[in-house]
Amino acid sequence: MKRLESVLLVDDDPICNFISTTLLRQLHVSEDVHSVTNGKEALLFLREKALIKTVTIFPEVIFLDLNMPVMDGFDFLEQLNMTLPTFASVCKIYVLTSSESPVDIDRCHSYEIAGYISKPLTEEKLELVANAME
Amino acid sequence: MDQVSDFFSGLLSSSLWPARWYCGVWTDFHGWLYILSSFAIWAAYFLIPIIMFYVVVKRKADLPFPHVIGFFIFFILSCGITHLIDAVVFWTPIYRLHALFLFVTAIVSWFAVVYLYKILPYALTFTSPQELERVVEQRTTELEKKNNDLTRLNKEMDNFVYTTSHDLKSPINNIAGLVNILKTEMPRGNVTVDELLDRIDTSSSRAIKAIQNLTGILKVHTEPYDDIEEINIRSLVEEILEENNLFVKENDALIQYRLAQPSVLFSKTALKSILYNLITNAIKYKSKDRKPVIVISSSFVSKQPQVEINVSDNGLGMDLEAYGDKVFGLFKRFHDHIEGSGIGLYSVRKIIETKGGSISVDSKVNQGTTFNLILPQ
Repeated sequence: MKRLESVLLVDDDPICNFISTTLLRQLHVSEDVHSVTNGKEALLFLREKALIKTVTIFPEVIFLDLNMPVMDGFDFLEQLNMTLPTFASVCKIYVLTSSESPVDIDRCHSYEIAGYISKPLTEEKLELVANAME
Repeated sequence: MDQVSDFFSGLLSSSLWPARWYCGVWTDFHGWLYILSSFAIWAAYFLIPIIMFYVVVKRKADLPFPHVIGFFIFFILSCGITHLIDAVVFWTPIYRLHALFLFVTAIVSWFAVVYLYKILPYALTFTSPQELERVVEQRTTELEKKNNDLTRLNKEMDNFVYTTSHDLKSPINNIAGLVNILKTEMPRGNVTVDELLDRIDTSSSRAIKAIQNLTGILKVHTEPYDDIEEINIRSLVEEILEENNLFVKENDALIQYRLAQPSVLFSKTALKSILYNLITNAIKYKSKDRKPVIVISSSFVSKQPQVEINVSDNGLGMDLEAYGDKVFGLFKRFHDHIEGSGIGLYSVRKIIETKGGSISVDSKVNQGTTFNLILPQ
């Protein structure tokens, strides 16, 4: 499987983050996995990376949950789109959610996301994500 | 009695009286005023019933009190004739005929009075078109409000189901994910542990499947199915078979076509979902004793117009006497040895009815089942 330089997990469910992190590490997809628990934290994290560019590089892939407290996935996409309209060329955002609501799916596709993945993250799904990288 | 028989035998007699012109003193002005007015009344009384009759014939179904109108037509006609005769007697004094027609008019008039009196209570309650319009408007507003409430409630229900399913799925997904990790962390070779992990896996995937079925039903209810187009039935069936190639081959199923009507105007998503369910069901519930043969046939009924599509199989069949309409019920299943969720046929009926069509089923135990789809065109 192709390796990813850096991955950011945005999900308020620590168990879900734990599962994704473990899977990414076990399959040696990425050693550099960060997790934050809502959209606001994710924006802060990206701002740090984008501006200082020292600690680590900008995450190649972001797995984004939709339903989160403080700032949900949609607001995160909206904010990111405003501050960095070219985000899609810097990193790929995959919405990783349990929601099957057509309303949610439609709303996601109004942003430049790379894909909509239903939870949980598995080896097969990860392979599709990794192989989609150029 | 003599007078009466004399009256009728000489009904048209005009020799017993002078013509009206010569009875008393008539100036030309007075006489002609009388005559022309009488003619004018007669002509008008003759035309009014014709117009009324035309209205009755044209609006037969929705006109109130048609009998009254009949009476009225007769009443006006006879009134008119008395006026006609009244003018004619200026030259031809047919006073007997005049009297007879006055009598007829009197009878008819009194019939009208009695009848009108009888329907009076009903006529009083009869609503005027304006009032009706007001009522309709009021009802429409009420309906609109109820409709809005329902739409809102429906949306809330949808949201509720999606939120609930999301909230239920999250922890179950976590369990599935954790088991996967646990499997890689556990030392290999402990059969009991492996078996336990597998069972947890099965349980969690079953729970996920159940939740997905629920949201699946919701999708059937909310999907608009508005991708209406001319669909080639055979191509669509082949598309479905191709997508389920493995399943079709595994079961060695044979599909035959008898398409008298090659295409149908319908929502493609809807028809695909319907045919997918019917065809996979036909294969799934095959008989152990024979190779599954599924016949897809179609015909055009020009009277309605509608297209009928039939999906017939030679499978297990169902006892419709026992199950009846339950075949299309939610979570109803009749063969417990085969995996199923009990939502397939429910969805099929829901979808086809949403699009104004209908579905029926014929079946004989151990011979096969035929589903008949009626799609309005």
